[in-house]
Amino acid sequence: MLSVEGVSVRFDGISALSSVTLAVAPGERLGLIGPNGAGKTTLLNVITGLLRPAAGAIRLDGRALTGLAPDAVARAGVGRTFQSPRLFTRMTVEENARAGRPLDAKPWLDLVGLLPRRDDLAAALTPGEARRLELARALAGEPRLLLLDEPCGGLNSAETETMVAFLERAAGPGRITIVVEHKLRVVSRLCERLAVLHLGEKIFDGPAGTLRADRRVLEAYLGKSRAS
Amino acid sequence: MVDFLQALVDGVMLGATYALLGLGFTLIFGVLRRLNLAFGPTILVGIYAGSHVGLAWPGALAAVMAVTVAAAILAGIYVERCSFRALSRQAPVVSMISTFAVWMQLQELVSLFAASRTMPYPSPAWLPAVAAGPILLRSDALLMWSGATAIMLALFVLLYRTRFGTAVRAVADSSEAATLMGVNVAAVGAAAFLVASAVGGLAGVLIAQSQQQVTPYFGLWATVKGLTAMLLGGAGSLSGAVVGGVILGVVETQTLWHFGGQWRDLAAYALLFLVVALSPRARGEPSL
Amino acid sequence: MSDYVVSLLVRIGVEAFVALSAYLLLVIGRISFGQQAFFVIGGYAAGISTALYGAPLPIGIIVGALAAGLAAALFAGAMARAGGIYFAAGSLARGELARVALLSFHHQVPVGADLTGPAGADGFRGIRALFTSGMSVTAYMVAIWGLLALTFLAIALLLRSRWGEAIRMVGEDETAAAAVGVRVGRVAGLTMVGAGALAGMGGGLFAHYATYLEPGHADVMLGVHSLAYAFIGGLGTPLGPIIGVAFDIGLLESFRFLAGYRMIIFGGLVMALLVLRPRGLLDEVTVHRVTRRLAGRRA
Ligand SMILES: Nc1ncnc2c1ncn2[C@@H]1O[C@H](COP(=O)(O)OP(=O)(O)O)[C@@H](O)[C@H]1O
Ligand SMILES: [Mg+2]
Repeated sequence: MLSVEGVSVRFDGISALSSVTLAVAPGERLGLIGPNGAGKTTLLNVITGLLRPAAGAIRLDGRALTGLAPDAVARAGVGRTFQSPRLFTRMTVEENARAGRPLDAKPWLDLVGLLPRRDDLAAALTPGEARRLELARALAGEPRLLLLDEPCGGLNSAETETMVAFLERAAGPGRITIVVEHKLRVVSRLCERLAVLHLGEKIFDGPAGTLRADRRVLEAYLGKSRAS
Repeated sequence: MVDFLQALVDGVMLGATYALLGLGFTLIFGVLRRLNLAFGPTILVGIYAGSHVGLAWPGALAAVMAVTVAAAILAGIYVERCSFRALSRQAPVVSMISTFAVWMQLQELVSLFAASRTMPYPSPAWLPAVAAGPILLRSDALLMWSGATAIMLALFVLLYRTRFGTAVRAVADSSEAATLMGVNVAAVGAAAFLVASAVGGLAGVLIAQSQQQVTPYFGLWATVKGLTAMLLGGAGSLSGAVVGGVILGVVETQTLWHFGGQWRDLAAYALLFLVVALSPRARGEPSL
Repeated sequence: MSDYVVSLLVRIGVEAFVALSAYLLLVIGRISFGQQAFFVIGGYAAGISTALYGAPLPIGIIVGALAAGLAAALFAGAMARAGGIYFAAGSLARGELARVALLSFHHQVPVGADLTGPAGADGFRGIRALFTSGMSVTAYMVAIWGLLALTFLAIALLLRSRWGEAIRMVGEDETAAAAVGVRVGRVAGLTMVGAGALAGMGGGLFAHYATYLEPGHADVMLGVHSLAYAFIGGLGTPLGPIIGVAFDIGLLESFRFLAGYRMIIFGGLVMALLVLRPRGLLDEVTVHRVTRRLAGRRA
């Protein structure tokens, strides 16, 4: 169980997240959407300890994550990818997936279709492959909580199809997943439940099917005049 | 008490030149976001050139000054070309490493032409010392302080009252935003480098006339003073660099008065180390 | 082997330790202009333990490395998480601090008929353990190179291990490394300690060869050269910095007609390489290609 309780983040006095509360159950896959600058990445950063919240608390299975350093959060069972992939470009694909951990990365590379490229330098990968490698690296840690920041960002439609197929396979038993994604088409295929952030506030949280009927979401996405 | 005051006054006078060095550092770092460690050695080149002129034409003070500044500017252009313009697409720290390579060259160049390890530098020694109550104001220190203050004022006018200054500050604030506003960031960077070299050359004149001699060690000395002043002032703030320079000067003269000469440099380096270790910005700096 | 060649090989061997020290820091993405601090600390500590307290030569070298490692640990305590220009500026300050502190470091005790030990600016004379042990300079040179070979092997193996993966990850992207659970501060700190100990070992080896050390041995140019060696030879393998040293001391310094221009050529070479091959001759890509080809031939 991931619980985000009243988390606020400010940058130089400007509020990036205001009192966001969110609970995600084991095995659940939550889609997190919202326009650019809504605070989605900020929410992932505050969960992973890269940012300190001005207020609020974050717990994973009852254990407080707030205040832990990023590496400690990772060891507490949180894996993530980044909006623009952060690979170790001077290391091989296999070294990237293993990432210094005592594990065999090959099954994970196989899962994302990169096993044949395991001895290449990560710098040589295409953008689509880079995203898949980052996914494999996060999965190899067998995280309890998996945070994916726009896993299909910058991919063409074929690459997006492949990625969605991999993401569908990526669920572990009891794993909590949050997928940040721009394309509603993609995210609704992956997630039954969606949450919408807008200007740092959560304005919607519910079954994907009810999203289009929500007045606040329509306002946020289409502008007030057209919604009314 | 008089000791303390005398050391304080001496420190402020000395600190004014450190402030100048700090301003030169800050101009380059603020605009280019890259550190020019060869700043001290470029001044060293200027002072050696000036010293040669002084040896050839004793008494030609104006020529000595002009050559000092001109040579410092020439060396600065060389540094800008090799370590900044040629490396503008690479990580900022690569420029920093490259400036040390230029440093080696400049230092060797200077000693190739030096008649001896210690070179004399002319000083207007005809000025009398001034006594203000129990406090003694040495003429060379007074010259150093008034010269540095005048240069600083001119620099602040340039930066806060001209279009060029506005462009420099815009780039320092955010080079992306400045580009969008139509500022030629590369040109402003090169110009800021030129101004910084000129300021460095002038600071070199003031310091050298006070010390009346120079050794190749001056390069490291000036770089460390300027770097400390800049970092003390918050790495990027012009007024901060001035305050940082004065603090460094006062810390040095106070340790000199109260503990003795061998502690002075130790205190200066310890101050630099502490500033770096305690700086909240030190963490998460991009690496190589 | 002529005396000249032996002395050249000793100097290359000794400098290689400092170059490897600076290289290890480059692997964690830190630029140090101050490894000469650990070189002199190691040299003084080794010299004190043999010349003043009669320790055998090998023990002295170990003491030197440990003392430098300890000093590096103190430094890492303050700076393990600093990066970029801040780490560089801090290391520059540290190098000069060591030099200035040695200028007023006096610790002389009577040994036999005269006083021996560090005497401030006059330096530390009479580190004679190598010559009283009866070991020939040639044998000493071979021992230095043996030790260097072992060190090289140890570093190469370390960097290939899981630990080494963590070290290289920290060097490339601390945020991404932390995101997979790497204890960034610990990895960086321990690497700094190891790097300090290596430079200290070089200092101890040098002190016993020269029989003499002075604060001037902590000149900033030693630190800068050590850093530059890796940028010449390449950052992809610990062989890189050693190649850099051999090139500088073995080639540039031995050509008499280059006297007076060596730093100009060396500096120009580093400058040009930073533009053309920013990570040196044997950079990661080249090393990867070569190891792959070798592995392919074996398979
Ligand atoms: N490090 C930062 N410093 C200052 N402002 C930031 C920082 N990171 C994000 N922001 C601001 O916070 C807001 C939310 O950004 P972000 O979380 O990246 O949005 P999203 O991922 O939803 O597109 C934006 O207005 C952005 O400009
Ligand atoms: Mg985002």
